[in-house]
Amino acid sequence: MSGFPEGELTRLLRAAESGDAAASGRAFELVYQELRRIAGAQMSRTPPGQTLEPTALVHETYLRLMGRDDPRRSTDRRHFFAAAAQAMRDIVIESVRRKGRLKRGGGWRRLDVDEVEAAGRVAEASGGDLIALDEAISELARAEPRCAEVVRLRYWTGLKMDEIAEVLALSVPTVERDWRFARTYLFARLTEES
Amino acid sequence: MSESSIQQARLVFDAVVELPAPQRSGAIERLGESDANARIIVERMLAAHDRGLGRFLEASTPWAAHLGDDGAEAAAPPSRIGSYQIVRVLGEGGMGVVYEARQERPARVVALKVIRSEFPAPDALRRFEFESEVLARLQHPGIAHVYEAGLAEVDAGKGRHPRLPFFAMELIRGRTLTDHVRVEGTNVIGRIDLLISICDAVRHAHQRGVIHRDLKPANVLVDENGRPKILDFGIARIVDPDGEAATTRAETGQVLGTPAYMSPEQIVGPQRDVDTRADVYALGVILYELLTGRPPHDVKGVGLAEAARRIRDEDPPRPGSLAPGIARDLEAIVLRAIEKDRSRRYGSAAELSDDLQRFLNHEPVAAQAPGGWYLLRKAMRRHRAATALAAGLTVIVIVSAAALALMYREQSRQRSRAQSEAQKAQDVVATLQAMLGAANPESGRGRDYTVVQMLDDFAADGRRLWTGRPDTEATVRQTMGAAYRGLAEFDKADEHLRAALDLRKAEFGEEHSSVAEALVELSRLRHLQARYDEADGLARRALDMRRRLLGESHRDVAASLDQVASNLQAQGRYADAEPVYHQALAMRRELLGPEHPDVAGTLNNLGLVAQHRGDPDAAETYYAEALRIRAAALGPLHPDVAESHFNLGSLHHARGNLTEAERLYQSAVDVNASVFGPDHVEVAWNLTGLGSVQRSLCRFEEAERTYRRVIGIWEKSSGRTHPALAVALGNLGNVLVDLGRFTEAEALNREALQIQQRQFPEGHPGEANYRANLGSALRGQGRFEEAEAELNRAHAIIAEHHPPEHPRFSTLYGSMARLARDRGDLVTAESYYGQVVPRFAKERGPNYPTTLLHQAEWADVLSRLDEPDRALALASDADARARASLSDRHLVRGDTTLALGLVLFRSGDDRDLAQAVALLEESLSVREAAFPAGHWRIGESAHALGRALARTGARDAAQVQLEKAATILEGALGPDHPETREARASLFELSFESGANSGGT
Repeated sequence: MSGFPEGELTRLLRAAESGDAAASGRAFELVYQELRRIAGAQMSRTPPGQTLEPTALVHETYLRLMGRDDPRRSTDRRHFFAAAAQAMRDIVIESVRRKGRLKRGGGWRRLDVDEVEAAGRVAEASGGDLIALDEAISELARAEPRCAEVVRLRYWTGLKMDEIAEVLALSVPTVERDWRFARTYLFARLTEES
Repeated sequence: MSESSIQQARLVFDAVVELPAPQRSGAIERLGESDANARIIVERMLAAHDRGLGRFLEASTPWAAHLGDDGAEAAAPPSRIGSYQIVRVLGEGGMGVVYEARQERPARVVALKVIRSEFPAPDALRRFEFESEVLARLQHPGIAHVYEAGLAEVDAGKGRHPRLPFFAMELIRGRTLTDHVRVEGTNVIGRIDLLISICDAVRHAHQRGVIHRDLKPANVLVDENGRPKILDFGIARIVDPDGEAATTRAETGQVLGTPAYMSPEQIVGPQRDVDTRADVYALGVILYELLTGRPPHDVKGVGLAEAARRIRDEDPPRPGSLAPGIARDLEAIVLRAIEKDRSRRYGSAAELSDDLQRFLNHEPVAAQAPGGWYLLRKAMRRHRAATALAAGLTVIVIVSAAALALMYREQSRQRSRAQSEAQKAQDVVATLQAMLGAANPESGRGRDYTVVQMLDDFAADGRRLWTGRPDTEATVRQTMGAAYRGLAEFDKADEHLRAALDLRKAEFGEEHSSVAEALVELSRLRHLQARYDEADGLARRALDMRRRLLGESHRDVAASLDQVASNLQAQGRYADAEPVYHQALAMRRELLGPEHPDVAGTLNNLGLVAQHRGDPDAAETYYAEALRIRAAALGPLHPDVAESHFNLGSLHHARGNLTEAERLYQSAVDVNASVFGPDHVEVAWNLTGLGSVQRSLCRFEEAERTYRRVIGIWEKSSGRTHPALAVALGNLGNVLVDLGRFTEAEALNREALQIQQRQFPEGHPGEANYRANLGSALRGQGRFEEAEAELNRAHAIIAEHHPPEHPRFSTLYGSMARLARDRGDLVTAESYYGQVVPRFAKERGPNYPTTLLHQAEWADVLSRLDEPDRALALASDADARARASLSDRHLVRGDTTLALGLVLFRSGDDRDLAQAVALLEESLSVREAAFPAGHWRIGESAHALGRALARTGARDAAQVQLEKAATILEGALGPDHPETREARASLFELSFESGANSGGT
């Protein structure tokens, strides 16, 4: 098992909840490290050409850090997944930056509408798209923080709608509406002429 | 884009998105008036929305691209895993990594599969152990053998060493099934033959309760001799017992491996419902592919949800449409095997293979029977034998699962024999009961339909079911034999276990692991029957065979060593048993790691040996270590932990730490009651310990209640026939002797003896206990001749089974000493006490209550033999020890004060007389507090006190005591009992002396 005491994360998350910034940082670090570790382990066993499934990764991390049977408080879950989404984002964005794939110049790179069918691979095509996407999400977060949260959970941790609803303590239709707006908005932003 | 523009856009977008385009414009116009940017973005969004976003943001992030460097780092194979030397990576998959690895002992090359997931919960670990045990027992030429499974530390890089489950399996060098037939150009008949062989292997596993769940051509290798071997049998379930991973994958749409071979119920239904027919489906798919070159559903590259839909809803193309020239009969067989509704498939791999064989023999096939499968099944139902055959298979799968559960228990808990047998019986029985109960609701069996009767019924049915299926017959008989053995129906157990052994030999030859297993089972029976020489012979044969088959170092070899040692132990050959246990211990530690529960099992047995050979300190060390391992590995609420508490309790009990013993026994009771429920036989055994310590604490009425509860449990579980019931009756009888209820005690011990004689041959060691107890009950009634006969018989039996230094002799000599004393043969009594007291002091310590009691009795006898000095020394010592080590109200204080008082009284010295009176008064008050009113022991003390008072001249006080004594003794023992007569004589003497005195004045 991992090299930190069981329940440690829950403790940190609760401290973070009550405003302890150091605990918040430490909790994030914990999630981050564990995600990296598990992702690395999964990678080593994934045949070349196959991709890792973020859902499995995040769920495995959750089980490791939060335990399987203990019914945790929903706020703990929420903080965990928020941290996980952030960690997943950081891992990938860092990697993209490190590998020098930063292609983006001034504006948005244009996505051909014809490419739309393959737009699921928006992030795969080049690192620049990921950076653009990340920045667009940040922009959205300032105006519609809940929508951005839904996108992060959906995209970075692969949670399903009902899971997001549970984590954010919202109804499923609300999450679906948020998702529809956010996804369409981001798509429109990313396909915008510069 | 400003925040407020986005917020504006949000409001408008949500409001209009579902409206038809013409109705949207008003809102958009209005928005444009206040925020032009917002209007532009909304228009772009609506355009995108209407066109469709494809899978934008819906697909996974490409982790591979971003984590590749870290991944490569972790992928370097470790040089060792557990005791295996890693040679190279053979392959990697969703479950984990497979290495080629070298094992040193036995020297062989294995395929080592290390599973990715760690186990978060202890019960998952237990399940893993259990299931891997099951897999290790799957031995079939068509199944890659699992040699060993366990947890091993794996160097995962970065200083992390997680303990991951691994399987060491037979390494097969060959091609996958599909590669093989393609390269060899195998013709249709050859392909069918291959599938028949595969079916046969699958059948073997199904009969042992193991479902593959992931059969596909990639999991079937064909070796250089052209024989197919199935890999990874049952591993899917171990790795992912609840099918959670599959479910998650289904929901997220990720395809792991290929679902093409998964049956509809497996792909969409709850995993727990998957049964052997899922494997039949997969066999059908493999056959389809062997014949047509592709699986029935093309699900390559589609998501799991879509794959599931196709598999569930779409009819596959007829094989003949893909590969012209396939016979209609063969096509029918394939389609039958891959029916979507499993009740319409072949019920088993055997049925599929039978039908293929019929096809090869040009006989009509079942799949093409006129009117279809349903009509055929109906026709079968008209023929009982055929139906029984079909039904039998389900039954057998259930039974085998139970059998495997038993074997697991046997392996993992080397507990005291009777205990585990009883446990096993209850397990089997619960399964059978559920099964028969469900099958037979109208049978009208009442509550008194005992388990034995049920097994008998099942055996009668079984004979019909297994005819002509020797493999099935062997499995079922072995299971039933074990069940009968657990129920102490030894003759029936004998019949089944011997038959199973013969069948195994006929099937596999003299030398096979299944034969070894059958020998082990039979040896256990002989052990319980106390036919230790035979038990030993069988166990050693199994051991030798396993050594030849599995090598010197293997967990089955360790288990056999443990069994050989336990036979030696039962014969009192502790010095012989101990080194063998140590061998088993070393092997288990090496193979399984020092913290494995099996290691604790052997430590526990070593503790038993140490305890019996009189080394309680060593015993305590072993027990404590066993307890530590078990508590850590299994958690506090586990029967093995309860066993360790129980054994530690018995150790403290023997040492005289009675309150600690009581605490430990009670904790064993609590654990097992919480695991099994309060009326379970495990609880009964623990209560037996609790009762005995209550008796030692002289809380006789409490002990009586405890034993009656034990008796109730045994009666409920197995009627009035189980040897354990006899033990409980004997124990209760002992308490009643303590309480002076000798006739009741006699009746109980006679019943116990009857049960014993029904189950065991004359001269079984258990018999000695009941005869000795019976002797005490008879002695209490003054029936000395009969008592002597029983004690002599007990002595002969014990002498036959135990060396002279065995503690059982000590207890028996105590009874013989008392008998001699009571019948007035003081010289004989003294010579017995001269042995008993030092033996007890050595075995249980000088301050142990029974030691002190016998020492006091010895002093009393010596003083009556006119050896006042020795008597005084022993009595003073006993009394001083009792005062120092026992509570004031302890019953034995009544005995030591009585003895010392009597010794002083008899010495005739007036100075001692006052002290004697004080001691005897103390004795009386202890006994009055400890015993119920009217107990003869109170009478005994009153009698002694009366006589001492008479000597001091306090005649009135003496008269009161002597009259009380006479009344109590007459009431408790009858007017003709020697104690009563003596009390009457003392009273008469007092009145005579009074009369003489008055006459003299």
